[in-house]
Amino acid sequence: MNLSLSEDQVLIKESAEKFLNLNYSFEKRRSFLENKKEAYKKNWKNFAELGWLGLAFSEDVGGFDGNINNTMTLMESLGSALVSEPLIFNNLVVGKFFEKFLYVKGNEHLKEIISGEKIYSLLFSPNQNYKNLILDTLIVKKENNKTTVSGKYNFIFGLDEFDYLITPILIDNKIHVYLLKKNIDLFDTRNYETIDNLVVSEVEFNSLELKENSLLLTINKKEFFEKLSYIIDYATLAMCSQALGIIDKMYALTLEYCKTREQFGKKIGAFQVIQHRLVDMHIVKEEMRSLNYMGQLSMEEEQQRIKSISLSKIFLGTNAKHMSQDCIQLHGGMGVAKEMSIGHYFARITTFCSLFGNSDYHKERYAIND
Amino acid sequence: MNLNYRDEDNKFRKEIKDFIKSNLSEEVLKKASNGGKYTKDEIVNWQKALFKKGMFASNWPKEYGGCDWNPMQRYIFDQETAFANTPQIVPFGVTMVGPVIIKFGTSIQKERYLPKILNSDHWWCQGYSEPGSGSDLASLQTKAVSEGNNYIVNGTKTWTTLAQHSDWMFCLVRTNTKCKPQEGISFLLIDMNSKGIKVEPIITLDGSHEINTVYLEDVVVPKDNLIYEENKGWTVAKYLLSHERTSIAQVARSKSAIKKLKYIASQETYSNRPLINNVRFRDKLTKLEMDMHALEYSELRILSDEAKGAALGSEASFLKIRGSELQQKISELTLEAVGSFGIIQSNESNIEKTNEYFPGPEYANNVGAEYLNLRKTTIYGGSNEIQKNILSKMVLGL
Repeated sequence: MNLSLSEDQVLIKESAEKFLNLNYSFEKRRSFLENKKEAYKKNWKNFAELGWLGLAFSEDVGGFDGNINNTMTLMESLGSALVSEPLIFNNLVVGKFFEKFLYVKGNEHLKEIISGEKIYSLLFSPNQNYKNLILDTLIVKKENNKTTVSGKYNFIFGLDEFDYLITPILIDNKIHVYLLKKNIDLFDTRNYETIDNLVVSEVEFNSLELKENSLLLTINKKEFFEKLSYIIDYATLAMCSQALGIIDKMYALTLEYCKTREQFGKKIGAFQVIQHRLVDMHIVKEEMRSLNYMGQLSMEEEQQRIKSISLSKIFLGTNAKHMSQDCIQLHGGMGVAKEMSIGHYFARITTFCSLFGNSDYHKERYAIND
Repeated sequence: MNLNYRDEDNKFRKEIKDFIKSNLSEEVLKKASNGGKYTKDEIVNWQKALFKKGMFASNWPKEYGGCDWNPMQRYIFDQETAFANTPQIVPFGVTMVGPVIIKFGTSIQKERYLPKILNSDHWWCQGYSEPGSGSDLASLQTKAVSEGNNYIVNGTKTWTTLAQHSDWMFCLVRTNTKCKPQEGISFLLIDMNSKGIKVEPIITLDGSHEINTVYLEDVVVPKDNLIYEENKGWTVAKYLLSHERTSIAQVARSKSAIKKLKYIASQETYSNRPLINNVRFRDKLTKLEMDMHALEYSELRILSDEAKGAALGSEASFLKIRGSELQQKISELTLEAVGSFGIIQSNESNIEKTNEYFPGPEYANNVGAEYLNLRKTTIYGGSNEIQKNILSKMVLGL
């Protein structure tokens, strides 16, 4: 048994923190938010050069052996720096998609994903209860040998700067996965700002013709959703890992604040009622890490995976959320001022709670699979 | 013991309903029910109309131009206006400084300030907190030095709600440094147009501008603007805070928010059934209703005692704690109910980085921003930690 970080993980953690402290400080991040598209391109290039885009994938396709512990360590660091670039969606989800569904040595798409040369996105909505996951909001029509699709699909994360949109569509009770090219296959995208300064897109198809040459694969529904479920769990764990980085940071900021802020002639951290609350926070953040490691170690056995990932997500939506609220409270007025970083972490936790299934969804999923 | 509506109460309720109908359009009320914020003009017009109709200053005696409603009338007014989503009466003038001037002011002061408060001609803000004095309010450092007929005021006030719109600020200042902190504080009324005042916005978590930092540099304040005696400001402040903390409980608005939440939960679905039928969700909703009614009847008990002449004291702290927690819990569950649309920034124009168009259902607009914004409730008006200190000292005798 060994549940401490490997040498690789320590290296990844240290180098990521070093890079992010220098290039993704709270002040730098503020300027990125003013011009997201430009920042996204620049940062994505940096991430590719650092090897981050290949961390989750095997050497066969140009990655770095795909060790999940390494990937989740990186995710944690991205969380602590409140990185807005959607690595989960434009790297992990799409990369794992090709790995699971179309794995061949030297897969060209995967190579492009890892090199950062092209941006891929999956038509997939990680909303609270996976309402649109079965793609029933899209209407498919077949006329004169032409297949067209119409309809809206919301909550695509990542800027609409993608080159390819992997688009699974239900036709004749089978999933057909198309690779749509932006600006060639015409569809509309609209971007929306979230409360924590991320961007989600809504994609709208107006009788878009689905051409044979853009068809990636056809697969039966059951198999599709089984494989997709693995990818979603992988992405959920990645998000929980980012949340872990955030919670760690919120704890550190709050502890620091209580050690410096003076009221009634002493540091507020000297009051027992505050001490006990900080101790509770400390325990919460450690428990969250424990569940996170459990998730990392359970990915390859389906039932175990489902249960442990759900536990991590339930924990995030309950105990960790409550802790994030308490961190704001202990900051007093400073906690609600946007110039302080603590509120930005709080907003991100709030967003994460409502993505990839909220805690009620995962409580039910756990119970069904227990 | 009874909580029956007599005929005159029902008549009163109808009067309020009719008044709302004839003064606010359905369109305006609908917008507000979906989280839209009222502008300063809309609020002022509403308050002026209320005053004209004799429905303003419910906590003021009649001789001062108030309507001196009994607790039942106040309860009905709060409920009807909350359910209709009317503008909320801005408390700083009429609810907070008004009663202070009535109790402690000279006749000249009363004449000078009260009519303008009643007619909503003056907007007030509260100069209490300072960067170094939040929970520990008595440690405040803003200094007022006597110079002839004036005080010269220097210092910084913060978290000042609506200072950007205010004509006047009631302000706690230090007039004596050589005594116990509480004994060297005075209560001053400061004209916000005075030379040396600078107001800087503080943007809050939701991206909106409600609060400010107010810098005072060599501000000349006539001694006529001192309320009560020099160095007796703490007594005045405590009297005022008890008013702030009851109005802060927001029971009627919470009741209305639960009603909205129930509507949302009947529209949203979970596994193809209305969300409100989902046991996990429903249990949380019922718990909120329990909390709400426990608070509501606690408030009614306190109001009923007050009507019999009991002085309000630590009860206000109890209402503030539970009222603020309830507001937060309702917004949290509402955020859950609207699903992921809740994390999309609203199209409210007073918010930074707003979306031009909101893609989700109307009722989900602003729900995320509201959740972030309401974190303030357990912090402002004396943080809940401070309220607990008050209760443990005054009620428990610890």
